[in-house]
Amino acid sequence: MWWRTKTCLLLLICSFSLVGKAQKQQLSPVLKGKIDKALTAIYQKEDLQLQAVELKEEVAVETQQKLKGHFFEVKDKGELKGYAFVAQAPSMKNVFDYIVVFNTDLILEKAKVLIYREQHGRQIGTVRWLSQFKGMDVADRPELGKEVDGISGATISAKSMTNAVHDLLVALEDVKSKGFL
Amino acid sequence: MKTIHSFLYTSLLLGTSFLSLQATAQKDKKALDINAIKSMEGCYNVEFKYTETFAPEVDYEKAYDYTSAAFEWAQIVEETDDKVVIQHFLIIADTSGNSNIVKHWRQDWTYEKQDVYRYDKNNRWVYEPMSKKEVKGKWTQEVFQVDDSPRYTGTATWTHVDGVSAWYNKADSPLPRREYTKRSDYNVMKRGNRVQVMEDKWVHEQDNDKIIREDGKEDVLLVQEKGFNTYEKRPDADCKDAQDWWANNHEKWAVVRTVWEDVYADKKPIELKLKVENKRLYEHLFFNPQYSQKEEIEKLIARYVVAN
Repeated sequence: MWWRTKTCLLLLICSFSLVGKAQKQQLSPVLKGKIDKALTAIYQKEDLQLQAVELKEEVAVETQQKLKGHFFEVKDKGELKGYAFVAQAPSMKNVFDYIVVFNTDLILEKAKVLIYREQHGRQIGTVRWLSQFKGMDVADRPELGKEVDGISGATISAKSMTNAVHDLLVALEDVKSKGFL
Repeated sequence: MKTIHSFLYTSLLLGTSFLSLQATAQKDKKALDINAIKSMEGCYNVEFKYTETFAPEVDYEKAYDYTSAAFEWAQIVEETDDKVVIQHFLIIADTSGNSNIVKHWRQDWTYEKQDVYRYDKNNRWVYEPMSKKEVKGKWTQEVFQVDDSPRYTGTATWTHVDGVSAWYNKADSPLPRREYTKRSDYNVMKRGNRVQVMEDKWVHEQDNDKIIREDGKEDVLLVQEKGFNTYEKRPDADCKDAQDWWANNHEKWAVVRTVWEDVYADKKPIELKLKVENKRLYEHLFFNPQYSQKEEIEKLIARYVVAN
């Protein structure tokens, strides 16, 4: 009986550790460089600014947790160009960093994997697979195997990325429905 | 005593025979090498195909594949026992069916060449001599731009197996022409050049690394690339327009080659300006009749060479 409790406790600690990593990430210089490069490629402009979006108290707690510190306005000399969400999601044995960029109408412009830390499942970084998310809006609920094709040999990471976009759209719908974006 | 004499005599005889056989084999091998190199002369349908393959960083977005085709004449323009110079020409038919000839790239093959220039980065080449031992039995391929300025140099051994003559080496080079004006995210292409010569065609297969090179830092690999260029032979007569064009223009280009040879003879690093008077070197040499005599060509090329 004791070993069951011990295993459960260990699993719980592991999952908290992954979630914690995903929630409390700092923008390292490498990550910042990759974000800048991605935004420059999307908007064909350099020196874009990221400004964290302040969330109102009326927004659901889950939404706050999902977006706080991860969701930014993308601005060019003060002019709003769109929104960017930067976070981590679990791969098979580690976490990967990704960015999801929306236009000002909250239509998904681009999803991109920025840093991937293991050999298994790297295929989720291909433009061809990630382009399946393009055009989705906050009402969409992507699921692997339905709206999004799976990738042989990258099932865990593909599911993880799909779930990340799914949960992000749920959160953004909440914010949008309350008239805050 | 007689036995010792007999032993020494036999050893000497065997030794001499061995050396003689070795020399003959080396000579035969060199003849096979020359035959392979010279068989690249001819009239060809050419196909160029490139695709990016592996990138270490997950966020790298691969460039589109590049495919192209050309009609080309390749002619031996210089030949000695140790050197073969092959000049390539593009034949472009216009809408009225006339052929326009463009002097294309050039490849020089030199046996056991010790004085070589290697590409460094940012349009700069450095002199890096090789020892006799390093080049023994090997051929150096020097590839030149359309204006006969340098591109890249590699040294390796030709092999002749199962009806295929092959030569493989790795050489640093500037960006290829197809990306020269379009890409600035890398500055050196480490080319894996595999030349395979068969009966009616030759293949230039490439395994290239696109590299970011900065002073005092380790090279960073951006992405790898596969290249597959095929040269399928067609009758020489199909390329008559190019042969005629060269008959009328070869003297000027022999002078251009001589001027470059003088630049290399200095053995100093060579750094070239991309443009002078807002024009690339080939634009002056191709289209300005002012540059037809050695003195004028020397002055022109000197303006592109950055003083060291």
